[in-house]
Amino acid sequence: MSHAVDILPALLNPGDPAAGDESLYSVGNAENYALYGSGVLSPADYPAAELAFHVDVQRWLAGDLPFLGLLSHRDRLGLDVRPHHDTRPLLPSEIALPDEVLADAVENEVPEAGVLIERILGEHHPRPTSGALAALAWVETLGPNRRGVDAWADGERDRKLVSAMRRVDRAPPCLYHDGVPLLPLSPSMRPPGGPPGVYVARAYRLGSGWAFSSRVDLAALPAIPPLLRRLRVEGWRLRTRERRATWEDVLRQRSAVLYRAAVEGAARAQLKAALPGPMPGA
Amino acid sequence: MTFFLLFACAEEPQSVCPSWSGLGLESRTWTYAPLSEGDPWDDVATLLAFDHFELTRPGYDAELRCEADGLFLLNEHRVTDTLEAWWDYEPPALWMPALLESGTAWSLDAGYDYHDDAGVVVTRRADTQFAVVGEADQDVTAGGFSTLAIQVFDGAASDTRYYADGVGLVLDGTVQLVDVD
Repeated sequence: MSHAVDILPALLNPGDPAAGDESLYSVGNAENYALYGSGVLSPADYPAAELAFHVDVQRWLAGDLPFLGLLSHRDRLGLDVRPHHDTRPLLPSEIALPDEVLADAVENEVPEAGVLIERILGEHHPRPTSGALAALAWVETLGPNRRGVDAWADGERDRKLVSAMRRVDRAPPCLYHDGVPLLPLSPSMRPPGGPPGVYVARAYRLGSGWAFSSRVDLAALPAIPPLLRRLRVEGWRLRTRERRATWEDVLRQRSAVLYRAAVEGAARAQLKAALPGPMPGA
Repeated sequence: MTFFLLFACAEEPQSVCPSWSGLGLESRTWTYAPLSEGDPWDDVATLLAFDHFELTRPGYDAELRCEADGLFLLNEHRVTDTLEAWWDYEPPALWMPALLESGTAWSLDAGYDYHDDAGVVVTRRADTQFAVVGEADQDVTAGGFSTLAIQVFDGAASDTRYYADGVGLVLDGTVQLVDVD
């Protein structure tokens, strides 16, 4: 049986072995480059430059290339020095969207969800929670531009729930500590507070308040710098297709990268805390 | 599904980092040397995302974030031969206001959570006072700079630090700038 989506992508890259199809090379958008790019590449040279960027991203993920080695690609391909925010406000949802609804949707709509959950939780994960399954609902597991929530929404008769899903869809996932976002986030998308703990979730407006969807609790606080670098590079990869993509577009469309990197970073932090003594260079 | 691929567009913002901090570039290295005996070392600042930076030097790293009202310290991490320790500032501590001129004064009055690998976990407040006390031309190994003199008083000792516009720290009571790129 062949799969439109690679469900066992563990050989894609040793630096991110649980990555999904988002880590594969896909031809970017030369027209978008012509409109918004740096203009230094001819149409004939563009595909090779983009492929070289993809190859070096894989080398960086594998630890074979320093981060600064990617900057020349970024400049040549016009992937922008800094991302910018999505300044559109979040519209409130009338009703809550429980994680259990999304988890059920994933179990009903996404074949091999038990395998694909590693895109959210990494390779060595415990039994997935409803929050982790809910997070998987937003990932393109059913093919290009096709997610579990889309398949669920097509057949769901409770249209208020579907409407709530549309509102949560706009809310970018982020890493939170006691409700405080630890990653850059558009001011209009920052909740005033939240439950205690360290978690990745989508904060969305619910009536006059806020709620958190697709919440994955973390055992420890992951180091922020490697997480930000990972997301920044993912943003550059996304921008090979659309150079106007915002930071929040990256968080939404590469949500699996955020969840996975945060879970893996938390595991490293937990391990580090368990080992006594200074660890220079750790 | 078309909504999923809609992208918002906006102008690319410029860095909001205080120019006296020397931050704002993708990566920058300052080489400092002690005024007394000792080997030089590099302070390296690298951009993580937006105006969020990581500063590293041997045995030390910190996260800093530039906002419209100044440069803020998020956390610090030190490693010695015998101890590893972390300081987390919540909310982030004002390290340098956006605008500096003679007479500007501010306080790094912030709570922080400290923990180390010896098992010490405490929450305390940092209370360091800063004041721009004048301007001065300073000649250091890296060259001659027009600087602002900032007096720093942490409750136990005071020092004067000299910052150059677009460069950052040039000189204080113990170190001088040797090179910057």
